[in-house]
Amino acid sequence: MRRAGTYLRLQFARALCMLPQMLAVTLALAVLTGLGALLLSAANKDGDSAELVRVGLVADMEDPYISEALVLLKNMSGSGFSFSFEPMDRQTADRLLRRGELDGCAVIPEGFAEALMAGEHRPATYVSANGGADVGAQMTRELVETVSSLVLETENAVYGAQDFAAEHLKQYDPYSVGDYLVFQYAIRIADRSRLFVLDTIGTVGALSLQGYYLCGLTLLFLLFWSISCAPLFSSRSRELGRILQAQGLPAVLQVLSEYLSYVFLMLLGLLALFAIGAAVLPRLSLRIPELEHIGALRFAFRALPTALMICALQFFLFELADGTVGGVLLQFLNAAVQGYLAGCFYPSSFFPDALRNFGAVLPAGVGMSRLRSVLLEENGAAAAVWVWMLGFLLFAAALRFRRNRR
Amino acid sequence: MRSLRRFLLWYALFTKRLLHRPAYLAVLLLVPLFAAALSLFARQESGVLTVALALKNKHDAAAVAAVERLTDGDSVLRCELYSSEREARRAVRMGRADAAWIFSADYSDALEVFARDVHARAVTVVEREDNVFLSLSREKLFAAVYPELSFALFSDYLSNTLGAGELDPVELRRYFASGTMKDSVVRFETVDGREADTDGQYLTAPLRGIMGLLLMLCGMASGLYCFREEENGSFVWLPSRSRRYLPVLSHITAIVPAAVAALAAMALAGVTVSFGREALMLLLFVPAAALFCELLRCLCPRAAHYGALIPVLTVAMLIFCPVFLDLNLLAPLRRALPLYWYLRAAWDSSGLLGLAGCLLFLIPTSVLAFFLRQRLRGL
Repeated sequence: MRRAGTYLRLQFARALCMLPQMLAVTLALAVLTGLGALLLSAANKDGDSAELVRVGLVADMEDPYISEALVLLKNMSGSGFSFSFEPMDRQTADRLLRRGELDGCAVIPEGFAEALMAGEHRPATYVSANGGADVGAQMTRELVETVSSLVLETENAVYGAQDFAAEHLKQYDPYSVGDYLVFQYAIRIADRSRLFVLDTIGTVGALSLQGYYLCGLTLLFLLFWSISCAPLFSSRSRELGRILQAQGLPAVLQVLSEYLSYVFLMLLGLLALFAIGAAVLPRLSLRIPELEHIGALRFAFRALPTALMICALQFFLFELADGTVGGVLLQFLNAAVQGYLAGCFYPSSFFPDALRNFGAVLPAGVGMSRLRSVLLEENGAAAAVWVWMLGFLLFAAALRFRRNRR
Repeated sequence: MRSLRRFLLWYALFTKRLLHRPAYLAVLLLVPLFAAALSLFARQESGVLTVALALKNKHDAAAVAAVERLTDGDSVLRCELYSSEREARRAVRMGRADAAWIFSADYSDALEVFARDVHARAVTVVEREDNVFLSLSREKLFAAVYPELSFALFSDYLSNTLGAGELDPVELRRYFASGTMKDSVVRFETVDGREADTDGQYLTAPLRGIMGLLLMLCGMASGLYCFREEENGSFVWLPSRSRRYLPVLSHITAIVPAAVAALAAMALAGVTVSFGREALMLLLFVPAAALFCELLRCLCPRAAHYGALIPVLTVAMLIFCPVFLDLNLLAPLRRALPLYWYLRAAWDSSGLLGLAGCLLFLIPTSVLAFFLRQRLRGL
């Protein structure tokens, strides 16, 4: 036991040598994430606190139909969402798109409205800023397709009315019939929210979006932080393990000592993160209702087992890897893949059922469930966290034992 | 010729020492497997939002038609029909659905009233909280409701506003359906003028960014190796002129096998552009990433500092480069990252120029940093 105590003290001493850079990493990660969240909330708010989509408009602004359409498009907004249309030429639009200063660009060809009226197909073009495969771009594309479908339906109805007027209501000019009908459609589209009754039942029993991303970011911090510990693990000597085992320090105690020193570093890092969060969060305009209810200290305390489980997983991966490059890459792959499947980047509700269920049983998925339960003051996934943690420690000990015996 | 043989020999030695590491090989194998699995899962039904639909009157043809449009369409919105309003509301409360759209018992009448007076409620929208995605989803709801609303407005306009009186519904339908425009009035393009990929899967879209990050990590991990070799004096026996190229060679040999695995992964997931473009992008990105990692290594006095920088840089690239979302934050900072240009080059030809420019900038910068470091260590 004395040997175990000595080894434990040595591991803590090794860990303490890395303390300054661990704290620097924690500070840098906290600043980075906070900066990203702050800039994101500042960049996406206009005066009405609405999410802003910046779209360049390449069109003949003298055309009265274009002006009317602009009014209509500006009205295509929900409660937290507004378009900003800026008339410009194509070269400027391309330049701003490439720079990322525009989210998209609508190019309306000359005579677009007249072609529509005449039943000719002369499509407008929507140019997306980044190739258009990510979630935001696909949502924007669906919105544009929605607008397109409304325009098509309206135009077909207008042709039908003009044909009817030309055959049965000869006292009317068919073009006036069409124009007035378009105006009526525009009124209905502008007032479309009156067609729905909105019943917001609140998030009781379910997490708000801010609460969800608090859990996601906490988990991501835990997952990525381990990469900075690569020098701590890569400088271990495999032969030392064999010698210690030969001298009566079994693999389990070796693993436990190293794990505890790693946990010690992680806890100090979390403490620093907590202190930064407590100082900075009240000054940001971000509200997390569940955190206000439960209290940050209680959340941090109840999230500890999740941190211990993630530490155990990372410790196991470092034990598995047999070099620096392999160690760093395994940690990154683990963080990226498990973080993705656990719903830290996209909410897990975006995934197909099978993928969501698979992600939920992975360690990071269990960790995410546990953090969400903590915020909701429930007991979900508590046992699974301990099972994974003990499992990883046992696997690591078994690996160390096998390696020492070779 | 002799230099080339020597270069190839060192290249082979550095590559061999990595390929002997089971963990590194495991990563190379896991990456395409992960991509293939993700691609298979992505083909299953999924959506950014799940909406529970319910009909209070299952015999209302207009409501049934709207529900069919919502459930049959290919969309980022996943709509599921529930047996009753109660079940749909329960789905929202339990978190199984993000919203519930309940079509009222007098849905068709409500549409006709709306067409006349603009005051009628046809659908009840139940949500836990309002956010941007749900706001956008209501536009899809309106688009699904619109054909019947359009017909109601069309009929009312002809009958009442123009004074045509009571009209035969069949005749009305004939005129209403006589419009010949079927093709979308909007087409989608990239900034290069190419047709945008409208079938792209958002689940596999981040794969390119993750692979790019992996390649950067390979280079940075190789940097840790180089620190250890310097401390151990592993190559001190080599002439200093030859020794100066070893770190960059080490980074490149760490990145290249991972680049092959990454390319295979992206091909399996279907997120690649043309083979020529992918080859050109990697040809520029791999040395740029290697030189970037070497520049960082030269700027860090010790391995511990460099190791501490790795997760910070990883998270910085995740936030500032368009891996998952393009936040366009701190634009000058992200233009200094090779990963940003690599991701941009996939959809914008000027990204290739940017990547080449980044490489040209990094060559003298990393050389200067290397000599400065040697000078300082010499002191």
